[in-house]
Amino acid sequence: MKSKLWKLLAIFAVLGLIAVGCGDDDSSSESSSESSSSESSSSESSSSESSSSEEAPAEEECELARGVTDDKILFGSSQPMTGNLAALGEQAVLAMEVTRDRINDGGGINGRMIEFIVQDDAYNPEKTVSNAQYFIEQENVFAIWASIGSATLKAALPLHDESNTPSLFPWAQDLSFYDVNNHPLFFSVNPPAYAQTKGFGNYLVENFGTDGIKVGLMTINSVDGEQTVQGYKDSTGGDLLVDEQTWERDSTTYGPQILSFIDSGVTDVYVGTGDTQFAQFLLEADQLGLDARFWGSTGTISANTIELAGDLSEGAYGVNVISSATGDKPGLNAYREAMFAAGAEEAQISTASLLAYTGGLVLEEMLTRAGECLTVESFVAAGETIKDFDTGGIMRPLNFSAENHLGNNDVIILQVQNGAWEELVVGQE
Amino acid sequence: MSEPSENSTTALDRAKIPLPKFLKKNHYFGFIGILLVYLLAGTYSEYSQTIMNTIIFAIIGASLIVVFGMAGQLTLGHTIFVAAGVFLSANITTVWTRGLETELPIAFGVAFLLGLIVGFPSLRVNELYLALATFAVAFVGVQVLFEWKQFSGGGSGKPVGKLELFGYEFSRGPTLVRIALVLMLITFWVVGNYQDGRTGRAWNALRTSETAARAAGLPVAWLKILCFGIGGGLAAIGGVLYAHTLRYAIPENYGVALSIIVVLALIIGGKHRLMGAVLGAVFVKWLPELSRDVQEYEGLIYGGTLIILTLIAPDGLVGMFEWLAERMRLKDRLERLGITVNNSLYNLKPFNQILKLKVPTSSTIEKASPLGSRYLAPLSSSDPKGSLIVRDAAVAFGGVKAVDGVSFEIPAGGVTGLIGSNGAGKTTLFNAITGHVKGATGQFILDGEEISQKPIHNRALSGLGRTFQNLNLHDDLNVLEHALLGLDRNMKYGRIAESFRMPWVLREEKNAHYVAAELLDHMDLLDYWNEKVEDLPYGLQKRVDVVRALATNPSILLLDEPAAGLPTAEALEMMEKVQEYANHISAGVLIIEHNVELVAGVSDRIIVLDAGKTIADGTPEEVTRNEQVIAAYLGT
Amino acid sequence: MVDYIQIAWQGLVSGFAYALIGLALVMVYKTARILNFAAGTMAGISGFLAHWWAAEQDMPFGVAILFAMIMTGAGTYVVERLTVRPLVKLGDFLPIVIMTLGVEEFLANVSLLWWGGTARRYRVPGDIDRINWLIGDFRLNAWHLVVAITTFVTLSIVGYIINQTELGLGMKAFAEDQDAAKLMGIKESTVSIWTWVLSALVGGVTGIVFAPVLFLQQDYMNIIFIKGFVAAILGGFLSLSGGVAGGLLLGELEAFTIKWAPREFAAALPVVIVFIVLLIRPHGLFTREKGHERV
Repeated sequence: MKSKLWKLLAIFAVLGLIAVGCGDDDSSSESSSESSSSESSSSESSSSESSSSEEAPAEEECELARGVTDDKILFGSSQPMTGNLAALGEQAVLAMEVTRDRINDGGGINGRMIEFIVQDDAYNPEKTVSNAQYFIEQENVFAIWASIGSATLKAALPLHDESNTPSLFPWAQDLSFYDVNNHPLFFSVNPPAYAQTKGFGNYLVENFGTDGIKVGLMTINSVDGEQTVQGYKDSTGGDLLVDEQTWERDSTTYGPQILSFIDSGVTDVYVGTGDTQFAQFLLEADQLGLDARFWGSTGTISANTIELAGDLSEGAYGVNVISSATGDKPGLNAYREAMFAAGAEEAQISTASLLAYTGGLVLEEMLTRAGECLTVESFVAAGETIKDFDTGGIMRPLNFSAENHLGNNDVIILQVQNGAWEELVVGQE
Repeated sequence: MSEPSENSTTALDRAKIPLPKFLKKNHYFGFIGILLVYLLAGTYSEYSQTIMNTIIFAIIGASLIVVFGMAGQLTLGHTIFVAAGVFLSANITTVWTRGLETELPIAFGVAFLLGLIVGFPSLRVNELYLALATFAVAFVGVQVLFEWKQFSGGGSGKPVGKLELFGYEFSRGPTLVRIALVLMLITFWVVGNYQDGRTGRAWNALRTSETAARAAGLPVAWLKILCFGIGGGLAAIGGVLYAHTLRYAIPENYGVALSIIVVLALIIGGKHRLMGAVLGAVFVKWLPELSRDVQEYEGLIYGGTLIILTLIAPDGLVGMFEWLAERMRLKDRLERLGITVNNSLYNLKPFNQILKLKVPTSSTIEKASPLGSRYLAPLSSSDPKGSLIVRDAAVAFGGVKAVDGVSFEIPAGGVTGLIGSNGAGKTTLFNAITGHVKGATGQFILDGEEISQKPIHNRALSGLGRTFQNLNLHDDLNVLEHALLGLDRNMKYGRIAESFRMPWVLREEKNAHYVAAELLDHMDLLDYWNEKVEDLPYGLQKRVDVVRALATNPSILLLDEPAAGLPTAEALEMMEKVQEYANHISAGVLIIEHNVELVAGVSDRIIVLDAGKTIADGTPEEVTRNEQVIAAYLGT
Repeated sequence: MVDYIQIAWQGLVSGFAYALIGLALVMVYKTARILNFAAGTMAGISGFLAHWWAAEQDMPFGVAILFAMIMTGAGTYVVERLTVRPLVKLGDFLPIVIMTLGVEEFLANVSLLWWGGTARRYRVPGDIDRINWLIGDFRLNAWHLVVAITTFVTLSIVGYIINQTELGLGMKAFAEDQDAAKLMGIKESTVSIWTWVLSALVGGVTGIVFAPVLFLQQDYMNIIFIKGFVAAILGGFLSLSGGVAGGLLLGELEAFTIKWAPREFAAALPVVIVFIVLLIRPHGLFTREKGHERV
């Protein structure tokens, strides 16, 4: 008897499994109906809420976007909160909190308060994708905001696109993100790594000529690294490249690379790293006697570089997409004031937090322009109308359009002077 | 199917040893579990990503059971197979624009071959060193991906194309989960079949004692390499699914960190069971999922849980559940026997031993001689075999000559004793004959066939059967499995057939079970067929060692101190059984023994070694009268 | 020529870190047959503690280090008793490895919650980590000299403890033969715990002395730990001096391969070389292969 029961169950099991082969049309239609039903359910809830405020004048029908209610807009953010990039995640989250508090203290946008959820991905794409699904399908967020990492975003972006979820102002610099046709919901104020080194090469030739200039590049052996090199090669200074070195996330010393730079007699070294690594690079370059101009990438421009490297950072250049976080401009002063008020340490005044903060300014403008009826379409359309947006000098006025979701294509050259990053020149790629 | 009555004369039926069946209870549970997830996948589509990751990790875990759980090869390079699956999938879907029907076989095939290569270091090194060697492989693998830009896209990675099967495009989400479940089912089916078949048995044997596995005639080197091949191939299936979940393949993901997590997950779950692979994957993937609301403390919770879990379940979750279940059953049995125990489940171990040894199951039934049974009778032979010629055997360790030019000839079918004081070189001579010692010189000719140059397992296949002074049994394997190991050479089914549990696989397995049961019966071990060998008393363990050697149907049986540590009566009884069986198959016997009376009693002839040299050779009477022997050995 | 000396010195400084961590790992493995995956994180926490006492609690530099070392020792004592000890009696290698991975994860997160992810500078008196001397063309960093001296002092102290003290004799006895040592009346649990503490202190010294070199970041000792692990295996994992020699060798190997190897292979080459060495000498460079397997 017992074994017959088992066999019966087994037959059911096998039948069910065979069904997957034939279940193709079924399940795909099922999932599509599911997504539509989830949309309709969210619209139901919102419409029920709107119907509760019946005295409101009957406007034209508006289906609010997922994650948007009459009094709240919800965002998700996937950040490296653990692992060796945790510092960046902490800085970005702090800037997001500052943005949220500023908006909410001012009464929100169109009566809606901003809220966001942060999840750790430890810079692991698998976690970023799970986080994205969690944000989109369980928390029903409106958009993904200010996430960090090219490798991680590459994995999560298809999910964002499919689920009609905007990806807003991440710190991710891969060229492929900026293609509006492929990623119509991607907005950024951070030019690709490619543009940054190209800008660097152009600036170098413009200001130091080509005579006797030998350039060494040091890039991370990862997603952004190759485009960093390519960007430089495509610049007017591309021919001056004499030594190309890479570093790994698990390097403990840059000594050998520095010795190689000494060997090849470089006069200028571009280091694509984070602030701590740049400080260590400067330290070791000094130990080993590498006498050159040092150019740090976006990630190296923070107060912490100067704190860690001390005098050794004096005179170092920074190739940035944004003004120095420590500079003196109305927008920057407001940023620092808000950051310190929120409990930021000196070391957290950095490009990472400033980029997230600036993205927040644009986000506020986009939401305001999108108006009462906030849908993904109205939001994107609103974003594309932004022209000459003033950030208080953090960036040059920003311009977006239907063809261009990258508001800022600046390459800004900074230099450490008297223990602070000073802006030298603002150029464009 | 199994009918009572008629067959009940076989030892197998008397001991109620279950025959291998096409579907086992575990299979049904597995089916139902997977079916449930399958049906619920649509309902909980918002978790599909985490469910997918869990399934992928379960598949990778199952593949690791092959390499690590069964064959015991501690690898930190398992991710390169996952990476192979991921990047092959990315290339096949984008460059060839083909679907799963192409991805899966190619990923499996390529990773299989890759596994065969990666497996090579395992022939040289073990444990820690193998972990490092495979760590190096993983490390280099990632670097290769970084630099092989056409294949991997370099540091920037490569997108993964559509999810297709025979041209039908599938949506991701729940559908992908369903596809993954079917692949998981297949993977588990294959791994489960290996666990039940001769290959899994052989892997388990080589894990627990490589020396003995070789002596039983198992091709250990090939088995080791093969486990990497099969494990790698299955891991690549997980990789293909991983590619479709992530949709973007980036080299830096597939480094050593992932390898460590995969191994950790399996150990947490339980490394010998498929359920362990599932539980480990659930642990690794769902703990973070469940601690999303307290995200800041996720790492703390994860680490803390890991610590507590290791404390309460050091053998993994499956191990803990099995342990609990066993204690429950035992308590039940004790209570039925009227023995009250205090409530602590910890104090039952001694009772466990007593119970196991006290409750006979079959000996009350009248039985025929196993040798006359239809399974052992055909092995009977009147043609004596096992003539062994040893010429100038010599083994030196450093400057010490442990065996120094020993020569003798043993005629077929006889019983020969090899005696000598401690350190006389007896065991070393055995090892030289069977190939277990490096650097042995001399010539060994068995039944006219020169075996001096053959590897250990081939010498065993040529007809050398041996036991060990210190037993070398396979912990974790039961008594029956030890006999089946010896019978491995009789099973002809292939490893592909095994992985799909083909009818002839079952047929041969069934037959082997019958033979094994009769053999156990002959050695009076039938009652203990299902006991793990490490739970048995010493005397029975010695018999298991002998059974394993007898099952190989040897031409000559080399017994290394079979009586050591046993009361003389018990030793004599065992020797009688061995001799009876040796006579039955007309095999020769060569015994090392300290107990001169025992040797003299059973041997036709005795060879005496001293300081690596033969000092006497003759009938027991001659030898015991030899003055040199008395001086060197008997006198003291 | 100076070039080579410079590279060799640079490799040696990295090698000191690998050697010390390798030594710490071998010590525990040799006496207790335990692989401590938390060694790197524990060493890093020592560095953070020294910084915390000095910079945030205004302790003098030396006192801060002393306090940090005491906390490291005491913390290790507690960790060993609570987590590893209960598992030792099972006699299985793997659960303990998993346990140390759990401890690693736990401590790393405690450290992250306490000190945050932002890197800190570990200040040393007179900022001597920023002083470079020029000897001919050879450049010598003052702190690197301190690192070298500290390494030698640490090695000497460890050498003294192992060869001259009761603890050391106990460790040796256990390394030789666990059963015999027990018969001799040496208490396994006592030897084990002090070995752990000693190993953690060696790690702690490494964590502190390399803090100015690597900056205090979360995980900053983890990479050193992995390299130390490789070094220990290269040295045979059962020989203390082998572990140290393996570390120094690995440091040199890294320095010279990055210098000479093509860029594509530079990162992987040291590991490949170790891999090949292992294939040729499966039991490491500095331990002799055990005699034939007794069967």
